Amino acid sequence: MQNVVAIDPQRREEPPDLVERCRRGDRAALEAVLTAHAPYLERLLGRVVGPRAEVEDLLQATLAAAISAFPRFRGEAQVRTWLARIAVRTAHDHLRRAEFRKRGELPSLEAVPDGEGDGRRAEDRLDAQQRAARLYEHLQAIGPKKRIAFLLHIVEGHPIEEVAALMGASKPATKSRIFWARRELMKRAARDPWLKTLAEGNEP
Amino acid sequence: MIRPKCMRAGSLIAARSAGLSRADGLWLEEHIAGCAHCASEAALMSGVVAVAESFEPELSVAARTRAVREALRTHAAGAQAAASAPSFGLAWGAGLAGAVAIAALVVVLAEGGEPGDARVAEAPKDGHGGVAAAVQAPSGEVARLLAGERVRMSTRTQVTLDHAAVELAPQSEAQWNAKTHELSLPQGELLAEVDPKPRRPFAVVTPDFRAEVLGTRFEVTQSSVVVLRGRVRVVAPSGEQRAVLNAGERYDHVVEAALEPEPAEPVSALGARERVNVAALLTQARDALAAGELDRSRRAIDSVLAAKPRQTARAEALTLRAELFEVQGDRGSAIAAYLEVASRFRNLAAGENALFAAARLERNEAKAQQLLSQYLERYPRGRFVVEAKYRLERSAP
Repeated sequence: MQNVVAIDPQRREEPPDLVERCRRGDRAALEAVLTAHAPYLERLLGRVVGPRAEVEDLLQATLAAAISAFPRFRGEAQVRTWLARIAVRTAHDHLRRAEFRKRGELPSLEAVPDGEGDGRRAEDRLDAQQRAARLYEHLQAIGPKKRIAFLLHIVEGHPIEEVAALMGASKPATKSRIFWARRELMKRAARDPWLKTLAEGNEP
Repeated sequence: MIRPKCMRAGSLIAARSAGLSRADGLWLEEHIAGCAHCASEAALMSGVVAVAESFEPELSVAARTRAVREALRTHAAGAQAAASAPSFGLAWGAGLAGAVAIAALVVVLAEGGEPGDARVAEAPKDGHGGVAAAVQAPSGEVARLLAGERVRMSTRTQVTLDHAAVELAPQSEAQWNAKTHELSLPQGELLAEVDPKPRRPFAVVTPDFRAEVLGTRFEVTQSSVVVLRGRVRVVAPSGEQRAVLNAGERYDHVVEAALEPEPAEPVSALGARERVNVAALLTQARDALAAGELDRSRRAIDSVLAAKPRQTARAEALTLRAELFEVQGDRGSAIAAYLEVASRFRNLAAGENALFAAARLERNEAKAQQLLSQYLERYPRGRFVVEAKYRLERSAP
């Protein structure tokens, strides 16, 4: 059994010794932990910024920040939650940047990849990406903090407490952000036919 | 003016994804039935969730691997610079190499957490009562894996056997024996999820060991087993038990004979052991690269190439050589080596990866654009299409 070491991407809590090795900058431990959580972080980042090409860059920035911050990780939260917090902060900073605002257009529909397969599946995927791009066009009009809180709570299903923890905000502030994001979306639904169709309970 | 009841309804509508208590759910249903505004908001939020969830953000495994690799490299380079160490190349290389070593693991772990593109087809019974499996590749191509038949798929593929779902990594080979419930894996790696209910045995057999399962989710490469759920027993070909792994544990197989950089006997005389040695040497080359032991890695790569291995192993060895150049900071040689892989193995995933890697490394903007355009032309449905288009747009004047 000497070749056996602990590594489990499915388990939410890492073994303490693995975390300790990460704190010390042990490369193997860092690789194991980052690799295990990368899909979750990628999904979270993708959810926050929408169907964009920058997800890989953001994932990389998140992981780099995590490696640098590991020595200061106190173990008060699970590694996954801690990494998610870094990812949310990275995404937030990214969304805030003026440069991003300038070239904030979502990928044009022509540029949307047509999936890896032919036929119905590729069409479905294209269709899903187009609709997601459209939705994120609307969400882009909402401030980053409100938008992130909205997406984490309403789409990702994180309870208010978790959203507050992920965003480093108080519960009342988080509730307020979600409230104003909802309100903004309802306002836009009154003006935009596509959103209106959604609000009428129909699939656009 | 917003009524207090509508305020509460709004919060509950927002919290639906996180889960409502039965009482809250009933109260909300009742309120929505009599309030047009809240009904409209509830529909909008459901629509938003449905649209957002219908598109799963997904990076290719290679992109995830690259992100981990670059993050480690950046960190290593930063640490090195902070320590004012003279050898930037080594730190940079160690970071890159570290990620190279886990590349194979990433392939399975990263995609194992979330289902990939491949769709699973139901396993039909063959005409003789034996179990066959339907294999469906991401391209939609369907092939039947009959008992005893060996398959080799170029892309990531899911196979449904009678009581197990198996995800084969690209370029893996597999053969299903329905009688013994054994899946042979002469080459490549897989992630298996076995339903424990049928209480039937299931095993994955590689040339070096056999992983027996009682009901679990586990990953097998040519040199390791990682158990994600359940228990797995690893047995040597001689029948000797090597390890019993619980969830979260990993077994690494070490081929002692292959650790020597120079084979003790002529490569052509190795016969059956040749394949084992090539696989082990490739592992050794990756591990050495990860550890920053560049000379050892180079020796292992040379040994693989000298053994005149099969196409996939040759492509991997040449890719490792390109990465070695990259680690050394020799950008020109790395690009040339990647382009060689891209040109010689254009029909393999390695060729596609190499072409994109060359484009990423190329600092001359015009040449980089040319390589990206070449990539898009050659692989219009490739895994880096979005990134290639994005890079092209970004670099456009």
